[in-house]
Parts: sequence; structure tokens; C-alpha cells
Amino acid sequence: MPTPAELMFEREFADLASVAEAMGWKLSGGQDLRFVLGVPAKDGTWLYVKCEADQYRTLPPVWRWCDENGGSVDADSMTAQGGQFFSTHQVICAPWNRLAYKTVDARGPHSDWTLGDWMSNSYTRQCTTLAAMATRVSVEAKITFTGRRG
Amino acid sequence: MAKEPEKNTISVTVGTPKGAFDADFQKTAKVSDVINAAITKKGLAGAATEFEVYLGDTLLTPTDRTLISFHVKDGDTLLVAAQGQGV
Repeated sequence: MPTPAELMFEREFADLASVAEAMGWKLSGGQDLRFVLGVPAKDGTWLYVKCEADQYRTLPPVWRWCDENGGSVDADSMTAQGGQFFSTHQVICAPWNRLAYKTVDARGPHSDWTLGDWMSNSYTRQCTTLAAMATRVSVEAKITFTGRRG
Repeated sequence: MAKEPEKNTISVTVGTPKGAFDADFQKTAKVSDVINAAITKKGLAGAATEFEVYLGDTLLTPTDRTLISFHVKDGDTLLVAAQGQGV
């Protein structure tokens, strides 16, 4: 029997796939509560993020920078910078990214947020679905991206 | 041969936080009409003011401007994004 996280993921991944196709994004995976998303960046390159959604929505998903197939993660050459989302902390800085919480990842800048309250965090606003989060990543890649960390 | 009457609508694809849809908008339609259509068609939670619309890397603001004033044309793909705040 599917878990609540699996049911939610299945529904929201279908929405994400629809948007990704319309926007020309690269989307792969979708099994085991994971996928890799590629979005075009301001400099004409592609940025890739790997989403890991175990315990979604009790907890926000993990969004980490990765290579095209998601096999390698968190290298400086994959890590976007620019604006407040693509922060100098090397993690996407938003309540909907589990890595933004210092209790989860030492790079996470926020010890002032509670992981389980991510949906009601005022900074989350309407970024409460996988497609909404992916859309935000895409927008920031086009607008605020200034380059890669290394 | 008779000239075809000019179309009064713009046919676009709209990506949203709950999937994409195709729609025809009047040439006089405003950006806010796209947001409202997305909310209605896809059942987005939240108020219209919590969303923004992009054409490529251009934020279509203010939302009371018409689509054609931003040079939106047939076949374009618009992206309705939930506003979010990086911190």
C-alpha cells in the first residue's frame, strides 16, 4: 500500500511533468520519490537539481545541486549562486528545501525555522507543491543567477 | 482571395504550479487574467497577488497591463509562478 508521501509525490510529479514538458525543462526519474530537474540558466547553461521527497509533506523535500543524471551532487561546478535563493550557503535557501535547516545540514543557514512547520512558514508562501518549487528554481535560474560557485 | 479576418485572440500555453494548460485570451486580456485563469482552471490555492507571470526571462508586471503590450503572441508559453522569498 502506498505511503502518504508516495501518493502525494505521484500526483504532484504528474503536474510537474506537465509543466516541464510545456516549458522545455529536462525531467528524469520519478521513482522512489526522487527526480532530477534541469532548467536553463541566465548564462545559457543548464542547472540541475535533484529532489528527494521521502516523508513529503510532513517534511519539505531535499533539493540539492547535481549533475545531469543526478549521480554526483553538491560540487561547486554544479552549485548556482545569486540572489537570496541561490545563497552563499551552497543550498537553495527557502523553507521548502530541507537543506536550508541547520538541524538537517550544517550548511543550512536557518536555525530559526522549524522543519515540521515549513508549510506555514511565511516565506514559503504558495511554494507548497513540487511544481511550484521547481517553477521557482526555474525563475531564479533565469533572473537572479549570477554564476556557479566554482 | 478574401483576406482572413484578424484573430481577436492569442493562443498560448500556460505553465502553472499544478500543471500546464492551453488557452485563448482576448487581445485585450491583461496579465492578471492569465493568473485568474490559472487559479480557476488548475485550482491553485492562494490569491492572484501571490502569483506572477513570466514570458521567458521577462516578468510581466504590472499585471494590469495587456498581454499584447508585452508582445505576447500566438504560440508563446507563459509561466505562472508562485511568489516565493529566498532568505
